Formats: sequence, structure tokens, C-alpha cells
Amino acid sequence: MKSVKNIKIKSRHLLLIFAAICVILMGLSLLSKMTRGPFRVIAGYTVVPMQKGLNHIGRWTVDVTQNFQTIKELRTENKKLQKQIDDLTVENGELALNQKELERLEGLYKLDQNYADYEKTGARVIASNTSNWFDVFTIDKGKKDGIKPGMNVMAGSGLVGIVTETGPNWASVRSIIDDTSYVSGMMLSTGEKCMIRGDLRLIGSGKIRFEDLPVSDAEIEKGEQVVTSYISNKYLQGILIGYVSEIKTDKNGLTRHGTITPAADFSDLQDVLVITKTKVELDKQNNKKD
Amino acid sequence: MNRYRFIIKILIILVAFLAQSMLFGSISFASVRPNLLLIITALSGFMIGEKEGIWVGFVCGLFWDISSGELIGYYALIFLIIGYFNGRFHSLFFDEDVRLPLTAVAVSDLVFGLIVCVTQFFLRGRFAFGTYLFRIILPELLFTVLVTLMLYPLIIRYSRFAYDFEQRRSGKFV
Repeated sequence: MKSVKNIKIKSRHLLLIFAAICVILMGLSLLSKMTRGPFRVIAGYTVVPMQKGLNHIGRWTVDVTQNFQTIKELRTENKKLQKQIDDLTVENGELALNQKELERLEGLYKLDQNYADYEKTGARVIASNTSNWFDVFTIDKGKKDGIKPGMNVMAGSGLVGIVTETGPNWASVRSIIDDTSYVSGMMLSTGEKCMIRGDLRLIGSGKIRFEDLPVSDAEIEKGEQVVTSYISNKYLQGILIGYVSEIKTDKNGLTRHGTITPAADFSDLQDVLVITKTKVELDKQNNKKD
Repeated sequence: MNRYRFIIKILIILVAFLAQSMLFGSISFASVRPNLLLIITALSGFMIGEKEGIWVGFVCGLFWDISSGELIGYYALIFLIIGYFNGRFHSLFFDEDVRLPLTAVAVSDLVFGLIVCVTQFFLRGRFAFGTYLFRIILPELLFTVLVTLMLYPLIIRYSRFAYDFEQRRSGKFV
């Protein structure tokens, strides 16, 4: 009986000690981002290589099983694509003409920056986070590859998220559909600004919310393109976020809200593009120019 | 505690963590995954005792903290408290009855879900409790309990083996 009692007291002490360690760690990581440093490095050399390996194996098995199914599909697709190439060649000729005209007009308006033309580097998604509550994922490039926190991440033509943290060989990305994500956006045709926030309630339907769009005469229709706005200090300007799928006027009659279908396909995210310049760096450059 | 058991436990936690963050070919959002780290924490506490629950919970939580979230120590604290309270009910444990361990895991997962819901969502002013409950907490709970049920025979076999091994080493049966 005595020994059992001893263990009980000890385990309570143990609880207090460990709880104190946790509280201290939390305090430290609130005070400075440096606290995560050692953990980051440890994770970079232990867990991340394993995740990379597992991801490799996972992809390989999926590939092998899919290979057999896809040969037939490929043949039909090939025919289709061949046709598409013909169509596109014709279209390309037309576009080249348009491009020249655009350059001329851009020159007129002194728009020397082509926003969609940021330099990018490809990266692979190697792990999602463990939680069901948040949408953060890990990519296989980090500090060594020049990735820095604050860099924007895209998939295809659409915005996916932002790099929040980097380790030596990995970086974690918070996606725009995460509940804590806020992006300052803009309706492409009217230039009106709105706030785009991830919402856990909408994740099932694959949509994100937008809010605080001022009510104006300009009609916004479904399918309107939404891009990142120039006032954001984290997101580069002019990256496509998605298309308006629903729009309603708020009760106050001054602002509108609604949902956006993201341009990036979040249901099957494997390869992403990281824009290798952050907004902060770009702003600094522009200030120097001025 | 025995050195071998410690190493094996760490390995089990590592495997669970990798499985939980694995992508199965591609990432898919809006899907619910079982909370394997919580199973380990809850069962360690419930089957072995308070101390085991505390340190296993701490390690599991730390893994979680590193993989997501900005605060180091936040999930570690939640997990170690869950481990400790499971340990408080260790005296009820009887390894041929699967219902109690399942209940322990279920209650732990529910508590975990509610804590995350309150601290990470309510405190930010997002009160869609119904959605959170039916879209995340309950599906996760069901899935986690199901996985526990499937893994339970394996867990029991391992724990009996570990127990025998330790007894033999300490020379009680020799």
C-alpha cells in the first residue's frame, strides 16, 4: 500500500513538472520564434526524411496501380490532345497578335510589371498536418533551397497559401482554406477590395468566404475572378484566388459577402509552386526605385 | 522503466505520427483522419498508469506541436493531461474487456476535440459549434474508436509480451 501511495504522489509531481515544461515552452515560443529553431532542425533530420520516403513509396504504389488503368485513357486522350494542338496553334497565332497590342498598350499605361510573371520554384507536398482542424501542409524544400517564411505558394494558376515556417529541408504552408487564413483580395473587373478568409464550415463544400466587399453600382456576377489585392502586405498582387460562386448583401446594407470557389484544386494537391520573392522584399525594392 | 520498452514506445509513437501525417499519394483536405497519437496516449495511461500517460502524452503532443501550430507545448500540455487522467482510471483496467479501453479512447478524443474547439475557435470568435461537432469531432471520434477496436488485439498481445519480458528480466519467474 505504501509504495502505491508513493507512486501517486510522484505521478502528481510528474504531472506538475511536465505541465510546467509545457507552459515554459509555450511562453518561450510566444516571446520569440527562435524557440522552434532546435525543434525545426531535429524534425528536419529525423521525421522529414521519413515522410519524404513514405511519400515516395505512396506515390510509387499509386502510380503502379494507376498505370494499368490509364493506358486506355491515355490513348483516347492523346487523340483529343492532338486535335487540341491544332486548334491551339491557330489560337496562338491570334494571341501573338493580341500580345503585341497588349505590349503596346501596357507601354502606354506604364504597366511594366507583369504580375503573373513572378519567379517560381516547384516543390512537392510531403505531409499534411496531423490535425483535422487546420489545413497546414509540409513541402520538401526549405531554407537550403532559399524558401523563406512569407513566400506565396500556388498550384496551377491559383493561390494555395503562404509559407509560415521553414526548416533546413522543409517548409510548412498554411493554405488559404485554413480557418485562420486571411487574404486581402480584389474583384478583377471592378477593382473593389474584399477580405477572403478560410472557414472550417465551408471546407466540406470546397469553398472559401469573402467579406467586406463594399456595396456599389458595379454588378458582380457569379464567375467573377478574384485576385490578391495590392494592399496586402503578405500576398503578392494579382494572383488568382478563385471565382465568385455566391454573393449576398450584408444586413447593414453597406457590404457584401459570399463564397469563392478556389482556382487551385485543394482536393488533390501534390505539386506546388513557391514564388521566390516575398511581398516585403518587393515593396523594399519598389521603395528604393522611388 | 525498462530501456527497451522506452525505445519501442518511442518507435510506436513515431510510426503513429508518420501514419497520421501521411498523404497516401496525395493530400486531401476536408477528410477526417483518426487520431492515432491520442490512442497511444490514452491507452498508455489507462493500461499502464499515470506516469506512463504523462510522458507518452508529452512526447505525442510535442510531435503534434512540431508538425502544426505556432505554440510549442500547447498540444503537449493537452495530451499529457489526457494521459494523466486516463492513468487515474488504471485500476479499472482489465485486458480482456475491450469496452473500457474503447470508452477511455472515445472520451479522451471527445475531450480533446472540445478543448481544441474552445481554445482555437471560440476564443477567435468562431462559434459554429454544430458544424465543428458534426463535421470534425464526432467523425474523428468514430474513426478513432474504430481504429482502436481493430488494433486492440495487437496492443494486448504486445503489452502481455512486454509484461512477461520485464518480469523475466527482473528475475521473478526465473
